[in-house]
Amino acid sequence: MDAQAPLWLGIVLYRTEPAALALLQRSLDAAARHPRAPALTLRQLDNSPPARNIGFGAAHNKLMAEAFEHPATRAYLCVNPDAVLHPDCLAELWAEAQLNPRAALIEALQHPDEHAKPYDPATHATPWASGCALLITRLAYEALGGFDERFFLYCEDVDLSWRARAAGLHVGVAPRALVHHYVADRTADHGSVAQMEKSAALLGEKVAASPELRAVADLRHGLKFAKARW
Amino acid sequence: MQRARSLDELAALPRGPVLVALRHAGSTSRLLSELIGEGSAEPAVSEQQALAAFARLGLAVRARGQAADPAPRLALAAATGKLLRALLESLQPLSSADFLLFALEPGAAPAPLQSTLLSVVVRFSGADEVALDRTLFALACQRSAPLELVVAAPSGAALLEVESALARHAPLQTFTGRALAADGAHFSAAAWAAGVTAAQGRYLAVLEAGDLVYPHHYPDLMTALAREDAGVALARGRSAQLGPAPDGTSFVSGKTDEAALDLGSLIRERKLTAAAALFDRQRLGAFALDRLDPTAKDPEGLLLLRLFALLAPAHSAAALPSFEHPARAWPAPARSAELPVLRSLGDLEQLLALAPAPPWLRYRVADAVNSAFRALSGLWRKR
Repeated sequence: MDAQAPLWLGIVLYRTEPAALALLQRSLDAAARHPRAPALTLRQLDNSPPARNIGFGAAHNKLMAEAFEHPATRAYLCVNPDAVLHPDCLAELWAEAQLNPRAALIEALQHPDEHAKPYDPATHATPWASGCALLITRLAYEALGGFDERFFLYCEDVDLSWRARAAGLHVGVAPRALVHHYVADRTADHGSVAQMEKSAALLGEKVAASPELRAVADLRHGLKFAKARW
Repeated sequence: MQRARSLDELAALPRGPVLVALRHAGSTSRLLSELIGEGSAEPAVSEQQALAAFARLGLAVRARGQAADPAPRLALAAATGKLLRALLESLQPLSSADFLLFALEPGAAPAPLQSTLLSVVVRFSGADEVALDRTLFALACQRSAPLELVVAAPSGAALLEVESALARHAPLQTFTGRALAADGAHFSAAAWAAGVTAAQGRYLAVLEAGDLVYPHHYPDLMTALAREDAGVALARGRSAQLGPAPDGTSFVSGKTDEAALDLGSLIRERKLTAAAALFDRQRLGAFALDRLDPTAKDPEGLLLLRLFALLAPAHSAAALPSFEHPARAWPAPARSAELPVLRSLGDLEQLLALAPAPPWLRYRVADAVNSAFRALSGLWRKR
C-alpha cells in the first residue's frame, strides 16, 4: 500500500462482523494483484462504539479529504464492508473511469442480483450510482466536494449522482467490474426504515429547491429513484 | 483367467483386477415376471447387495456398465410391457438394467459422504467462460459452509479454463474446488454423472455455468430439508434475459420471476431445472442420482420427476427467488403420454383394456397399477 498511489480505497465500518471484513480483505488483496489494477492505498474508519457515529457520508468525506490531499491521487473508491470484490473489479473500474474524460462516479456492477435500475449498454451511463463500490474521481471531488453530510445514511449516493449529472459529469456503471453484495433478504428494522424516510425527505427537499437537480432527478419511482428495467 | 461363480469363490481368488457380471434382481423384466407369476428361478442380486459385498471383500469399483435383456420373455402385450417398464423405471432408474457389469480392483471403497459438506457440481461445456466465472463467484460468496465445488468440463481448453477460474476465486478461502474431465457424446449427462460421483458432500446441488445462486439459496434449502425431513428441497427461481452489449459484455434486459413453485406446471412445461434443487443424499439412500437419461427431451426434469414420484419435495420458505438462470429455449411442453408417472389412470385402463392378454392377467396388472398410483397420488397430496 502506497500513499502516493493513484487510487485510495476507503471502508467505513459499523459493528462489522470480523468474518465479513476478513472476506472483503482477501478479495481486495486478490483484486489488487490483478496486473491492470492501479496501485492502492487502503484506509478504514470505524463508526462503531465507543467512537461517535458520524454517518456514512461524513466518514467517507474524511477519508476522501485525506486521499485527495495527495496530488498523485486520481480517484477514491468507497466500498461497503459487507461487499466482496471480484478479482477483476479494481482493474475494470479503473479502466472504465479512463474511458470518459467527464467520468465522475463509476459504480461496480452488483452481483449476483444486479440493480434493476437502467444503464445504457453502449455508454454505461446510469441515472444514479450506488455507494456500495463507487469510484469517485478527482474531477468529481473538486467539482462536488464529496457527499452531503446532512444525509446520515441512505440516499447520499443518489444525491451525489444527481449533483454530478447536473454539473454535466458522467455517472456510469462498469459492467465488467463485479462486486458481490446482496441485501434483498435482510429485514429492515424500524430505525433503518425511519432513516431511509428521513434521507428521502431531505433528497426531495433538495430537488424541490434546485432547478438543476430537478432536471436530472427522478422521483417518480419512490425509493428506487429510476424506472426499473424489469 | 480364473472364474468364480459365487461371492465366496470371488473372495478366494488371488488379488488382482476382477470383472464381474451379475443378473440384476431389481430389473424391470424380473419384477414384471414376478408380478405376473412367471418369476425366474435364476439367482440374482440387487446392485446394492453387490456393492455391499464388494466393499466387504475389499474390492473397489473402477468401472460400471449395464445392459438390458434384448429379448425379455414376458407374457405381456408390447405396449403394456413398455408402459409398466416406464412406471417401474420412474420409481427406480436402476431397474432398467437386466445385467450389471463391474470392473473391480483391490482397494478402498468410496469414502463415506461428509455429513455437513455441501457439494455443488457445475457443468461447463466450454461455451462461455464469463458465465462460468460469474457462477463460481456467486458460489464462492454464498453463505453455506463447508462448500465443495466440482466443475466438470470437456478435456482440453475448457478444463484448463475451469482450473484457471477455480484458482482465480480460491483466495477467498470459502470453498475447496476441483476440475473434472467429462467427455462423451452427451456432455450434459456425462458431466452430471462424473460430478455427482466425485462429489463428497451429503448435500448435493447441480448447476450449469451461467446459473447464479443468491447467498441465502442453500441455507434456505437446508432449512427446508431439515424442517420436513425431506430428501430433496426446491426453491423458486427467476430467468434473466441476456443480450450482448456493444462492448461484448452481456446486458441483462429483464428478469422474470417464477410466480410460485407450481410443480405440476414446471413439469408439464419442462421448466424444472436442477438449479432449483438441493438433495440430501443420506436421506435419498440408494436412489440413482448420478444417472441422467441423455436421450430424454428433458433429462433433468425426468430425473426429478422420478424422484418426486417417490418422495415429496420440501419447499424453501424464502419469500423471494433465490437463484437465477439465463433465459433458455425450453423443450416443447410435454404431452401427457410422455410422462409415465403422471399418466392418468383412465389412460392406463384404456390401454390395458386393449391389451391382448387373458382377462385374469389384465385385472391382475390393473390392480397392481392401481395400487401403485394410489400410493403415488397419496404422496403428491401430502405436499
